[in-house]
Amino acid sequence: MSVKKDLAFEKLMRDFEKFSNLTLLQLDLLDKMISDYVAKKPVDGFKSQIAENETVLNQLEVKVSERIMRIISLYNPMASDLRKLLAIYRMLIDLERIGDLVTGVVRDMLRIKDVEIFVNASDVIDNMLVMTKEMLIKALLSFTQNDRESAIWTIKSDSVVDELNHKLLRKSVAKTNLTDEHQEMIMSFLKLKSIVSDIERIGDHSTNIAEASIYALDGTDLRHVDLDLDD
Amino acid sequence: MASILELRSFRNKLFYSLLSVFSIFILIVLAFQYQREKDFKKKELETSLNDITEMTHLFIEHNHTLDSSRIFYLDSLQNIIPRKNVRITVIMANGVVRYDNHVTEVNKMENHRLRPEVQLSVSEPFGENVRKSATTGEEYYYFAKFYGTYFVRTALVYDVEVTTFLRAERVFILFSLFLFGIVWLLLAYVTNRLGGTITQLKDFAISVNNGDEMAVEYQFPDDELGEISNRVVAIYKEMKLAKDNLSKEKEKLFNHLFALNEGVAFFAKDKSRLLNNNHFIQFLNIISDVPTISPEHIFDLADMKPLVEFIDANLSDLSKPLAAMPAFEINIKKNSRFFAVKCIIFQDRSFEILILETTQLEERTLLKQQMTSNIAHELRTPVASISGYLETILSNVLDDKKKDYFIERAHAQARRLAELIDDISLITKIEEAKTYFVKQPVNVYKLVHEVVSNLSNRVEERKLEVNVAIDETSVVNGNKTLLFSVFYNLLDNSIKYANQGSIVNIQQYHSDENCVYFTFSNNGESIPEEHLSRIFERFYRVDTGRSRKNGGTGLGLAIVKNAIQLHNGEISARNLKDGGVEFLFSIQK
Repeated sequence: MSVKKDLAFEKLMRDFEKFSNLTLLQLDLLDKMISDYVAKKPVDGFKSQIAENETVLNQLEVKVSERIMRIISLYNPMASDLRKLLAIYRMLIDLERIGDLVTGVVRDMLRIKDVEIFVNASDVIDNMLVMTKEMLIKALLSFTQNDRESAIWTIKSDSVVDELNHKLLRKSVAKTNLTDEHQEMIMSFLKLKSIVSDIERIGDHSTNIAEASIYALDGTDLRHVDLDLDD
Repeated sequence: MASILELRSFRNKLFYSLLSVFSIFILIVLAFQYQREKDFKKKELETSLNDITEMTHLFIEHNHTLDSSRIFYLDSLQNIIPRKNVRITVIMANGVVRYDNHVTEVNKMENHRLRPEVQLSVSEPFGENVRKSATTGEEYYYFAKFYGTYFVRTALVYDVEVTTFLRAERVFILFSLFLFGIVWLLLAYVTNRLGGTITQLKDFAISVNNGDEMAVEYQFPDDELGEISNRVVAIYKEMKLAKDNLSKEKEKLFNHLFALNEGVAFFAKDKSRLLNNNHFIQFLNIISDVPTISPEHIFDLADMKPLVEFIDANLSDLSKPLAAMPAFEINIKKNSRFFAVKCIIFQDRSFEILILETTQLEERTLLKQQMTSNIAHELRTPVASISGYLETILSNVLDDKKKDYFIERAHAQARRLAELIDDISLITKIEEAKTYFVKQPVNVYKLVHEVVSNLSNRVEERKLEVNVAIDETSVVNGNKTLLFSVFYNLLDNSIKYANQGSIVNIQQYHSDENCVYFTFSNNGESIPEEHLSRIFERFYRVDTGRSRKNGGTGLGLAIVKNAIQLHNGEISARNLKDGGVEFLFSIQK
């Protein structure tokens, strides 16, 4: 019994690691894509690769959550096991969101009409990206390697990235040679944009809640794809 | 579910199987007893019939009743026989029935010569047979004896019935039931005892399987099974202890691995990870262009190709015995960092990969190479000068004045050479043999004055003004020789490079619990910004021509910096606004 459980856990961890590596790869591809974009090189290859990986990520997510359900329903996990499973589940949701955000960045980046604006800010963006990539690696390693220090490092680094974020917008707008009045206006529009996005995200999350509710009601996973859990 | 389990429990199985064995035994005993009883009754029947037959024979002999007129005398015989319903038949030797007390018309009866009991009684002492009577239809026990001229046959209803038997043997049945009850209780007790051990063993096995902590002390009875159980539990406890110790050791190993500054990973022969530390993955991420959290990623890296080939070569043929621990090492340079990657293959074809960061080592090697070539270069200059002067003296005829001039110049170069060698040996000592310098309380005020008076001749030559503003009681914990050379070199520097008539300020500007802070400045020319950060490097010269002429070794500030670092202090240099250079440094108290 417990041997079977161990095996199931092993499979779960393997898929989780695959998922993590792929998410990291997405961040890396984004990083490379930005460098090439700033250097005015073609980036279509990166774009399609990121989109492909996103599809794989979505399938993997369902597979991993299905594995978690299986372990809970079949092997009576103990308290520590359950804690681990719940932690994986939480990470899974966040990793999936990171994947979504990467595709979002790709989409928005290509939509900026004035490439120079993006180029001007690319240093800070690159710094932020390198920092967040490092944070993600350390956060994941802290889990797979049972390393507390890395987790604490990541949590502390978050404020640094937040600060970079605030500085970036101010600086980008300040560089535009517009009058102060116009700069203020742009800042206001930017604030407006984040308000709208936040509200949009509330809608997205409501959809997720609804999906979860249907899953609870009759066990249908609306994200479902053909799963092969036996490999 | 529980009740089914209960019924199927070992205790119940044992109980019911033993009970059924006992029941079968009781039934066999009963059947045997029944058979014996039946035999006994038959014997009894036979005996009484024998008696009646004998009596009849004696009666016939005595009364001559075979005469046809007296045959009815036999009827009176019935009355004196104790058993009722006895059938008596007298058959003549030729088989004709002469008399039968149950039948009145004897002459109508068939010939009885062939009846089995009659037949038997001819050859045997008597004949017997059980069968249904053709005349009455009831089952009879026939008994016949032959007396020369006639047979006497007696018969009784054959009724050795179970019903009567049961009635007769009630006590025996009751006794059997009582015995059965006793055995039931005994069995229940014994199986309970046995079953108890088994149940405890079962609980033990379940708790072991679940990996629970063993909270209960198992109490097994004092028999073989109990002994076995006790041993099993003891062995388990011993093994658990050993396992716990092992995992403690493993934990230690893990902690050790994580504390290491090297990346370590162990892999199984299928190249799946067994164990790895954080540094391994961190180094892997530096070497790799793609971020990852899986140690197996190392096999996908182009830089690792020779390593992977080595591993594959050693893992491909599992039948071939390994040479003693094959090892392999490659060096990788990536993003201006250096790594040494080592691989060791163990006998069971699992293998270890070590990643060592050798950047510092490589940098130091480079630095040393540079240093050696610098030293050689610096030494060569005075040596070349000396040999040049000496050659001039030897190969030319010179007047005494000129000869003296050259000798003096050669002497000056020799002094410079000696100075250079002193400086090199000092700086090497500071770097390599820190313990060589014994620390003791040093009064900085006195020390600085000593330095100033030591150099007073040259100071006056350059018409410098030296202002010392140091607390007279300022004491630091340091090595006097080194601290002397710190101030000596700084002042020497000012003498060499400051303009004539410059002002030199030596000042203690702060003091806290740990350190005393000093500034050393001279006004005049500044050092160009691009050189400022490098002036503490060995043999670094801002203006090559000028400083050589002034006779500097190029090591002065390097010695200052190293000496201050040895005193746990820091030093920096900056240009003054109004021209001139200022050194700020601290020395630990």
